[in-house]
Amino acid sequence: MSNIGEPQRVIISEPLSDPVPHEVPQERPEPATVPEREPEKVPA
Amino acid sequence: MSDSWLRPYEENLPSDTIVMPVVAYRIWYVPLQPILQLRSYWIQTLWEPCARAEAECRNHLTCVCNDDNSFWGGVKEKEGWGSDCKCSAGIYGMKTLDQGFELWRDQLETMHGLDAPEPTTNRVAFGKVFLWGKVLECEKGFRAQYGYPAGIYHTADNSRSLASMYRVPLLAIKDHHRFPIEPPLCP
Repeated sequence: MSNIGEPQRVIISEPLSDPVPHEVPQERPEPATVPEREPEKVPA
Repeated sequence: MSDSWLRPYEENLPSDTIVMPVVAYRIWYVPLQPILQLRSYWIQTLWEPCARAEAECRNHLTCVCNDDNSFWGGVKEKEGWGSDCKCSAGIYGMKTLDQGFELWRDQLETMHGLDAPEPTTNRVAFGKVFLWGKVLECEKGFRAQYGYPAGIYHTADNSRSLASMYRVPLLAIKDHHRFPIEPPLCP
């Protein structure tokens, strides 16, 4: 890469939270609900 | 192995521990469409979305950073390489936005005039980067064990898509007059 100059110190970086974003889980579609059917009227 | 290239510095330089990542500025290489991804600019290692990039010496078998190889260990000792490590491994970043911007502008100027099927601005991404693990601080920049983009500057048509793909913010460079070429309008 580019010239970044002479080394000066070593940093131990231990972040409290992960700098890497996590994958957002795929949202599951709501299960399709089947509308209840009214019982068929049987002619008397 | 991933931090063996830092050992000579750990032995000879002061060190500090911090509980946050180091923030730096860097550029990435973006392959031709339709492939949308970030790659390290010179060695073109793929940066996977949602996965940290890890520094690796590409010449580890013979490199001065390899302490495990007895043959090369003897050569290194004879040549005196151990005290003056020339291994260039690391996730690199510049200390300031201006230094990173200058790097981005220089690469665009190098590409300028190429007969490219798409704008050259789409081939070089500029952004912030988180660096952590063991980080070697140098005069103008850093070399780190781990890295991940912290944001992508809106410098090209594909900046928004890249930021979305890596789940990082799309950043605006407010000082637009610094652009060598007409940039896309920031939102």
